[in-house]
Amino acid sequence: MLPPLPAPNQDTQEFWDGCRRHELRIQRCAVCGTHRFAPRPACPACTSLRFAWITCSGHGSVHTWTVIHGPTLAAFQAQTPYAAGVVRLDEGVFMVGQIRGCDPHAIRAGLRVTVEFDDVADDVALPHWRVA
Amino acid sequence: MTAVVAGVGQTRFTRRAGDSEATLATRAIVAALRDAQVEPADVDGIVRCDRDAVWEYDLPGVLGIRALHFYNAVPLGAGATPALLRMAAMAVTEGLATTVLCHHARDGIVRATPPPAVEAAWLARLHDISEADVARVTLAHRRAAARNPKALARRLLTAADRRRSPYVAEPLRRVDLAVPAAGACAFVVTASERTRRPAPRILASMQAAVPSATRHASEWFVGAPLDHIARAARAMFAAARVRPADVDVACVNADASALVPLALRLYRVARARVNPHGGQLCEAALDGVNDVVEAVRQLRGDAANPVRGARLALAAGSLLEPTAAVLLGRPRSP
Repeated sequence: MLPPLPAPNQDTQEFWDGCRRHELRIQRCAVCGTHRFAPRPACPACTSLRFAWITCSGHGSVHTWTVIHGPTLAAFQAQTPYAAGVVRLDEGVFMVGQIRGCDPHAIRAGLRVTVEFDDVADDVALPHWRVA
Repeated sequence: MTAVVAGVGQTRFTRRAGDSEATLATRAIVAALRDAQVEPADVDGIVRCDRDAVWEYDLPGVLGIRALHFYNAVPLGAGATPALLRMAAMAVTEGLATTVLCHHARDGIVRATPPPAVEAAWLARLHDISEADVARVTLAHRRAAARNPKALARRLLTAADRRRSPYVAEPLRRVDLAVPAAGACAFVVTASERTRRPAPRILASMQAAVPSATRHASEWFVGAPLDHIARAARAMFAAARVRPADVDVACVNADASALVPLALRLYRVARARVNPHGGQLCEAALDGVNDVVEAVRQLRGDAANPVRGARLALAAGSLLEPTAAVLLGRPRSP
């Protein structure tokens, strides 16, 4: 059973292409250097439209989380209970994802995690987080 | 000129889908027009939710409504429905319309939209809302709903009963989350001079667009989450020239129990009776539109669990969506 698959658009294509190569790609403002995610046309700090894509370190720490028991989407129901949360990347942006690699009840705010990818289809990989 | 809620209407609330959205909306509209003692031909404005089935061009020619000269849609979500009154009040006080009908219906069919459990659980963790806090909210809502014949979840729960309910997303259990319902509510908003019966006054209102956690995680979590709601709330209270401590009845979104203490904190409401109808959690989950009805009824004195002497009521939408809130004042005595 496949999870819901991304529907990339012009703004998000680079992010999903990066996932396929197991690289976490985010935008960096070409003027003030602020990182941003989710992908969007302008810098939230200085409004510049100029940016470059960078590959993240893939490291971050848990900001908030919950343990999901469901009912949830059919693709995830077999994995319950699992942890899902918000991770603050070392680059300063926040991303949502599953947190794996430890007892879900051992997760605490600030726990260090690293990005990992699941190849869910020939040309689609989805990111999640593993306890470092 | 003060805009007032001249009438309210609502259907029966049900767990199971049955009637169409159009049928439900029509029933609520007929009831609201009757309640307001307004001639349908006087209705010249309408405000709806943007994803509703009944649109502005569906109404002229039915129910005796002739033509509309003001129409607007607020973005649907569990945060939107207090904005129905905001738009209607604006139309009336700006002279864009004299009699504005607002409505929202839900057919009760569960669609792909996931429940707000996960986002509410994340917020609970960020704001130190414990499972004990959540349990208190859920049990209190059941107690209120037990005395409200319209409510769908009326069975009293003990703390032990609640613990037997399975987790959905910790610390939220199944009984801490609203179950989608079917039903409709409608309002008639007009100028105070035009009403035939004592009508609660729309004192002030607010909207605050909250970036969704799943679409724009960064902005949702940076700094003090939801702080922009607190700022908008302060401006609303200032515009109404009342203090949060003056609120007698607070009808705040309870799609998830964890959202209630958070809303009370953001709106700084201290001593109000909270959701005397049982809220979205126990009366019916209808995107908050019945919370607005409850606020109106409390000020008129015809609520199921009346709060004696209520003079000021707050209706506030879900914190997880583009949100809205409205402050209503007791009718002026003639």
